[in-house]
Amino acid sequence: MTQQIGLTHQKNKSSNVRKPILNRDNVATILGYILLIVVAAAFVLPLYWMLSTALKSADQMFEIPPTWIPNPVQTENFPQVFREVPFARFLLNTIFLVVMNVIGEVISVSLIAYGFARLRFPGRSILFLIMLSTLMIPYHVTLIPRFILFAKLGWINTYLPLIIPAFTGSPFLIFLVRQYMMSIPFDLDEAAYIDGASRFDVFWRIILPLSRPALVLVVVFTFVGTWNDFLQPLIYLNDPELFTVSLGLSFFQGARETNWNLLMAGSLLATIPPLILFFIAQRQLIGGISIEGLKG
Amino acid sequence: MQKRMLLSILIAVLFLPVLAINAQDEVVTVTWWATERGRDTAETRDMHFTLARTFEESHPNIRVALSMYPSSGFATRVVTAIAANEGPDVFYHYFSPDVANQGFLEDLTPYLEESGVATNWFPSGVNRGVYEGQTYAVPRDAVSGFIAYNMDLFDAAGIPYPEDGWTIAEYRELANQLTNRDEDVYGVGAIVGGEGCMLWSPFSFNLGAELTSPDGRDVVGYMDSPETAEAMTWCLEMVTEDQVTAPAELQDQFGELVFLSGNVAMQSISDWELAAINEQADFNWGVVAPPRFNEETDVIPWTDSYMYYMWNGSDDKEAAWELIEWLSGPEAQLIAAEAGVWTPNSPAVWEELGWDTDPVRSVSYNQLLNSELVPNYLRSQYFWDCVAGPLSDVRVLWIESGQRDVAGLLADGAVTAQACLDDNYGN
Repeated sequence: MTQQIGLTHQKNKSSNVRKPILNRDNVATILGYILLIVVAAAFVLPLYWMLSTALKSADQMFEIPPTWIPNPVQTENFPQVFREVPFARFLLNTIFLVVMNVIGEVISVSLIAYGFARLRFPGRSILFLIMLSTLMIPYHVTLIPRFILFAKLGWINTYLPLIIPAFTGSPFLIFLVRQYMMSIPFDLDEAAYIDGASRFDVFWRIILPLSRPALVLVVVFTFVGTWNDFLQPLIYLNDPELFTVSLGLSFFQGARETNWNLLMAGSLLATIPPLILFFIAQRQLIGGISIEGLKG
Repeated sequence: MQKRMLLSILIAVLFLPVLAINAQDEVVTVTWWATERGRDTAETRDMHFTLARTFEESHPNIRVALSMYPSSGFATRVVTAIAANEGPDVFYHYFSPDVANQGFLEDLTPYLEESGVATNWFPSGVNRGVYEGQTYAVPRDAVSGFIAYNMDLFDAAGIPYPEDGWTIAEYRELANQLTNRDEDVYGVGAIVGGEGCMLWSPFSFNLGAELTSPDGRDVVGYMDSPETAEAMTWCLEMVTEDQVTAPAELQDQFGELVFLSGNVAMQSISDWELAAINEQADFNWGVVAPPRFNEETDVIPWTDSYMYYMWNGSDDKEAAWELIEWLSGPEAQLIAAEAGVWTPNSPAVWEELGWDTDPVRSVSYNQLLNSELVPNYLRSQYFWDCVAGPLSDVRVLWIESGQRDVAGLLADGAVTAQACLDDNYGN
């Protein structure tokens, strides 16, 4: 009883003491926020400059001191982008390529990674090493042999060279997903086999659903990689009707002259789809990256 | 037996006209890859397709498959395709003609000898495509260098506009008179690195400097000559001693055409930049021929061109040549000039357009008529890999490190550049 009274007394005492507004914890939090705001501003600034330039006229772009808020706001730059190049067509083409690449990578990467992570077969380690070693080959070394191969297949000026390789899996993504799959307990597979599941059942019903965070990474990396790819569409496509957004944007950038306002307006439009994807996949993506970081 | 033979002959004779008609109607396809380094607009691209369709109208047996690419990565596109034996029949590019030593360009000399189209071109356009006595490229256009000046800044300073026949000493004096750093006004702007003298402008020639030998393979004896040292010093003194050049911030903002800022009194430009100035300059401006070395010398023009090339792996070289010949001929040149896309490669077309008497265009026309020299940086395909770096180092060491022994710096740079050139040419 005495003890109880003592505790109650202490509680009352502590509730009567007014905490200073700026104690050590609050100061640290405020400083933390200030630091975060400064860092965030550094990241947001280029995006803001892109938006601002996209809404400026040609003469405002070069004003000294620089104009931060366009006056007048020139929204005409956006329709102008669509008049200068068939930007809507480029967007549609790119979306088609992104969808096909994402489908291809998710199917191939998950299957190949499953094989390397969960199946035991002779030469598995060597095959995995060979696959990993292909990561060390610079892309430009294989550029011409790949071009020759696709030319012999009659695939130049079609989307096939930009889609089919996705269905053979990217070594980097296979490595990522394989590491993730290896962290899933083997007991789950064994229990499923005892219940009569086939290997594909185990892949489809157990491993694939559990690998969702890693597969979200595959989706995001493939989306961004395909969306921003400049060299491959440039190399394999001849017909402007087939061109992609990254090729379309580079039409605004000449060696001697650059239409900065149109380039920024086009870039802004091109940034929207990846941005939407990021917001949709944000939770899974951060989860996936942190898990990969831990397992890596 | 005889009957059978006669019957065969009869059938063959009957089918001959059919075969002949088929052969006549056979349409070949020529691939043409194009890019535009400067004004890459919808109008520019439309004009290319107009050219292709106009050519097809007058050449019903040839279909042109035109592809237009962005300028960045265009060389990679062309070279990759050629390496894979899938190159374009015709393409234009900014190669140095000695790229012919890589073995993928068709020697156009026999075609030109038969055609005679080259007799219409400005002399520098002819020289621009020659490598070891053979012609591997023909000019798409023709531009020359001249000085653009801001009339408003001259008027504000109460200084008369420059006139043809002026000298480089007068140019420098004007730059000093017009510079008012407190008012953010600068005497000269420049294309490369602040002084704009040694590359992309007529100054190096008029200062007596040559950076490379005529074949582009040697820099020792050229880049390190006393004349080049003197020219380089003259250029760099304008940056550091006179302080009359536009500052780096302004250059960063406007890129090559810092003249458009309205804060620069004079800039060395070419016809390629003229369209942008026409459209964007919100001040009064004029152009004048580049200054000559002194009262005793004539002005030495600087000229340049894009060039058409034919891939020597082309399946139908005759058709490819017909396209090149037409594109570099008067009809195509007139279409391109009227669309405002590029300036013609032939004096006759300039005259037809009345540009030989136009107050602005005639300045360039007169330069082009008297031009023969190919710019230094177009004489070797390795210039940018080997020579430009050491040359730029001299500028950096002068401006940023305060080193003033230009002759010594150029001598060191020439040795480095020469070793690189020798390495690339396999000497």
